[in-house]
Order: sequence, then C-alpha cells, then structure tokens
Amino acid sequence: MTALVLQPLQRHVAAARNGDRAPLARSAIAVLAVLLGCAMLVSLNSGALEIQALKVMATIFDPVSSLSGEELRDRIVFLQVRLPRVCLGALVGAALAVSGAVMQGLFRNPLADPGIIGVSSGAGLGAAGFIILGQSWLAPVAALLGVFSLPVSAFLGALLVTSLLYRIGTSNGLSSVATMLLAGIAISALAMSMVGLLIFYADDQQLRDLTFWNLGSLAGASWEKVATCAAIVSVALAVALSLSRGLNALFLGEAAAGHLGIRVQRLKTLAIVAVAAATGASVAVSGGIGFVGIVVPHLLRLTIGPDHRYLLPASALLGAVMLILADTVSRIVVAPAELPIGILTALAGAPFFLWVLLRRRGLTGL
Amino acid sequence: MTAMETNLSVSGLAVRLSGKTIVSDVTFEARPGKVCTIVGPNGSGKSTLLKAITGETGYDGDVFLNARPLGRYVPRELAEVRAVLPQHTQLSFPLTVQEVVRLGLQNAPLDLAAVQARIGEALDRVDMAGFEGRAYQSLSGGEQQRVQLARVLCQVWQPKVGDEPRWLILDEPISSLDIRHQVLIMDVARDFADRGGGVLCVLHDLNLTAMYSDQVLVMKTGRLLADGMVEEVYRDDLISEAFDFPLRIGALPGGETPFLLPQAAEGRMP
Repeated sequence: MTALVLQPLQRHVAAARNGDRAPLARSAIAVLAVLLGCAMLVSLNSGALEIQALKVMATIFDPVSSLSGEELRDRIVFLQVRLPRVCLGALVGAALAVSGAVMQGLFRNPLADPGIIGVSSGAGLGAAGFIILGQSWLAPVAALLGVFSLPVSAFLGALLVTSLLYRIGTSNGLSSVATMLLAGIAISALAMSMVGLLIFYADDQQLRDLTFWNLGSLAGASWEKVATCAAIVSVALAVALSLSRGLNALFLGEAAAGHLGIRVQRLKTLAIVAVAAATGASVAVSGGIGFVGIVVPHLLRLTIGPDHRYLLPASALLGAVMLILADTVSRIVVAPAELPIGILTALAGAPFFLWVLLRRRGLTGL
Repeated sequence: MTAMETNLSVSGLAVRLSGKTIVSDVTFEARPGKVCTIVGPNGSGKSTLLKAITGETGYDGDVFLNARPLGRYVPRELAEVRAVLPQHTQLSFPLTVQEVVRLGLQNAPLDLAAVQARIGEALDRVDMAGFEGRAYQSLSGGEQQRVQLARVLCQVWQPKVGDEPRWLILDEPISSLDIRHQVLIMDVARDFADRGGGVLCVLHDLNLTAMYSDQVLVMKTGRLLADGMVEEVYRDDLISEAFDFPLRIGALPGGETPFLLPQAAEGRMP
C-alpha cells in the first residue's frame, strides 16, 4: 500500500516543489478516470427503479429466454434508459468543461465560460430556430443533415456568437473581462429576444419541444442522441487536445506565442470552431446547462496547474464526473419527479463564479 | 553558405500603422558575432522597428534573416532561428518559474532529464538558480524579466548551428534591473555573440550601450540617424541631436569606452 500510494505521492510533491506539476497532473488524470467509472456505476444504480447495474451487466449476454420477467425489465431499463443517459451525461460534461478550458486559454481569461458569455445562448438560438422552422423554412436543411440538423444549427449559432465575442472582447490579443462579460450579456439578451420572436411562429407541439429542451435536462437521452453527440464531441475534443501546446504558448500573449513558432491565427480559428462545435452539440442534446465550463477547469488549475496538455483531458474527465453526479442527484432529490439539471449546476456554479470574480478583483481591479 | 550571407539585413523598411508612418527608410545590416544596439528617444520607433523585424507587424521593404526573406520562414522555422524577448510579458494564468522557462523548450527534442537540466542552467545564467518552484507572479519585475530571458535563451540555446547563426532579439532587456543584473544580463548577451550568435537589442542606457555594443543604431522620429561603431556614433553633436538635448561625451583617462553623465548637460553644471 505504501509502495503504491505513498512513494509516488512523495515523488510528486518533490517534483512540484521544483515547479514541475506534470507527474502530479498525470496521476490526477488516472484518479479522475477511476472516479468516472465509479460515478457511472452509481448513476446506473440510481433512479426510480432499483437496479443492480453490476448484476445486469453480468447477465448482459444471456439470451432473453433465460431471463425472468423482472430481469428482462431491468435489462431494458438499463440498456434503453440508464446507460444512454449516463453516456450522454459524460459526453455533455466533457464537452462543456473542455469548451470552458479552451475559451479561457484563448481569451487568456479565467472567467470566460460558454454559458456566461453567451455562446450557449447562441447555440440555443440556433437550436430553437431549427426546432421551430425545421418543418417550414429550414426543411431542406433537415432533409440534408438528418439527425445532425439540430446540433449543426446549434453549432452555427455558437460559432456566430464566439467569433463576434472574440472580435468585440479582445484588442491586440488582450481581452478585457469587463468588455467580454458585458458583450456576453448583450449578445445573450439579443439571442433570447430572437428566440422570443421565433415563439410567435411556433405551433403547440414545437412550443412543448422548445420548453422541454430549454429547461436543460438529460432526461430525453436516447442512443441516437448519444451517437450524434459523440460524433461531434469526439472530433471537437481531439481538435482541442491538438491545440494544447499552442494554448500553452498563449500564456505569454499572442505576439510571444508567435515568436515561439505558433501559427496564432490558425490556433484561434480552430479553437473557436472546436468550442462552438462542442458547445453546440451539448446544448442541442441537453439544453442550457451552465457553469460546468468555469468550475471544472478552475478547480483543476488550482491543483495541477494550467498546462493544457493535462488540463484539457483532466477537464473532460472531471466535467463528465460532475455532470453524471449532478444528473444522479437531480433524479434522487425530488423522486419520482426530476429536477432540471441546469438548476443544480447553476445552484453550485453561480456562487463559485462570484467567488472567482471577487478573488480576481483584488488582483486586477477588473 | 558564406559568412557574408548569414546576417540580419534590413533595407528600405517602413512601417505604417493606421495611416501614420512610424518607421521609414531604415536600412542596416547586423552581423553574427556582434551585439547591435538600437538607441533613441521615446517614440522614435525603436520598438516598432523591432516588431517589424520579428514579424509581429506588417512592413514595406525587405528583411533578410540568414539570407532568407523573413516572409519565407514558416513560424516554426523562424522560432528555431531567432528568439524574441518582449518588453513586458503578462501571464494569463499562474505558472511556476519552471513552467515559464519550459515554454522556450516546446520544440526542443530533449528528454525530461535534459529539459530539467537545461532549465536549471538557463536560470543559473540569469542569476535565478533555485527559483524553479516559485510562482512567477510572486516575483519582482526584474526577476520576472530575468526568467523571461532564461526562457528566450532556452529557445536558441546554441548560438550557432553548423554555419547558421541564431539570433537574440531583445526589447529593453534590462529596463527594470538593478545595476548588477544589468551588467550580468548584458554579459549573457555578449557571451551569446562571442559564441557566434547575433544579438539585436533596444537599450535606453547609453553607458551600457557603449560598454557592450559593436554596432550602434541611433533612431530619431522613425528614421535612422546614425549607424556605426561606438566611437563613431558617440559624438557630442550627434547624440545631442538625437535626443534634442545638449549632452557631452566623456572618456576616462586611458579608458576606451566613452561615457555620458546627465549632469554633463550644458547649462546644468553648477
């Protein structure tokens, strides 16, 4: 036991004292991966119906004929309800947390978060636009893109807002917190009002879809959603990971990153597209879930440091863990009803955001 | 490649920013093995000239680095040939000193032990040995400047690779240092040049410029007023004209390096 835990720990503390937090970060990633497994298991076990997830998994390849009625019911709930929901939670959590980390690296600002600065609202506008106009004006788009129509619409909305924000919020590679947050508020308000306008064109069914989607929930999880979301999110995360070194160089500012051999313009474009895609895909399947993108990277930077080579994978894992746990809690607290998960993340995340803001105000005067 | 070609050559360089001409008609040549210093009053275009040479800002005219036009380098290649120390560096996130210096080694094909050894050596050169684990933001301005120099040194560790010299471009590298560290950092630059690399820097201190430079470029209102060795440029009339202020150059008996004291300004003598 000491050989397994204590010795690596001592080594990490010694390395961290020399300013090298990489060994610590690598161990943290391993621990987070284990945590993710545990969180998934807990979530699979919880819900209105008592299910022994491990027991169901043990008999998962047994023929249907050998199962009792109860076992069959458990298997169906497990395969068609719980598992896709947990997978979707992991994808959305990872996408939101990595989006936050990449945006913060790009804006060189720890307060940039897709939810707070309006990227999610942009994605929401895109998604609402498709939900309401998908059968009329946008019918050709729906025919062309099939199941990808909703996430792609959300992606385009998010892309529009992110590029706009980057143009407004930064000058000479420096982003001002105040400008960025205020521009985010204005852009969010604009997006919301346009969603409001769209509602006038909606029929009853569309209104119901929109409202349900807007609450922010993983309740509608299906394998189809998981597959679309996974396709987009995995590409976006791969792109984000490939940008780690460039984002690290940006610690020094855009000019200095260029001097280190980074193609800064290309880096910025790819980062914005990756963030928009990941945010768009997660907003499309789960509505507005806020604050994951700011809480997760911030907590990780406090422990393993800001090196994106470790921060991004760790954010993906911790984001997945947090969202799965939040979803589990949202299913338990008011059972048999469900709390929209967006309420839970905001309940925990908003005070956290204020705390970060207050701490920073002392340092920078904002 | 002959020795003639491996230089930093600038001809007819002009920089216009939003319709305003900041630098015009600058032509000079800096050679490897030499320390070339740009001096001039505030707002004379020194930093803008440096920004054009580092590719940070657009320009008209020609800049050749080791016989190759600047525009023909891809960023990665350029990063291997020259390193740039900016005037100010503000970090966006809390890094340790070790992590800052390691950014200069991102492209270096070194294993972990070699990276750590290199970082230690670079920090030792700028008199920051043992600061690896400190938070960069907790350091004083002068200490931060020295850590940045260690990072820049790591980027172009060998002053010469084969026949090809590498270049250090330093924008006011000693502006916030105490006198001992000013001399120490200029020694580092001198050493880089002595081992075959090229150094181009902007300095404000005319005495340290005289002590360490092989070539001095004097800028005034965006133009090159003079280009020559210290003894050619350090003349009362020329320096006074450059700074619009009467200044007198002195020399210690037997000493070769000219010096300049502010009190020597005419009309200010007691």
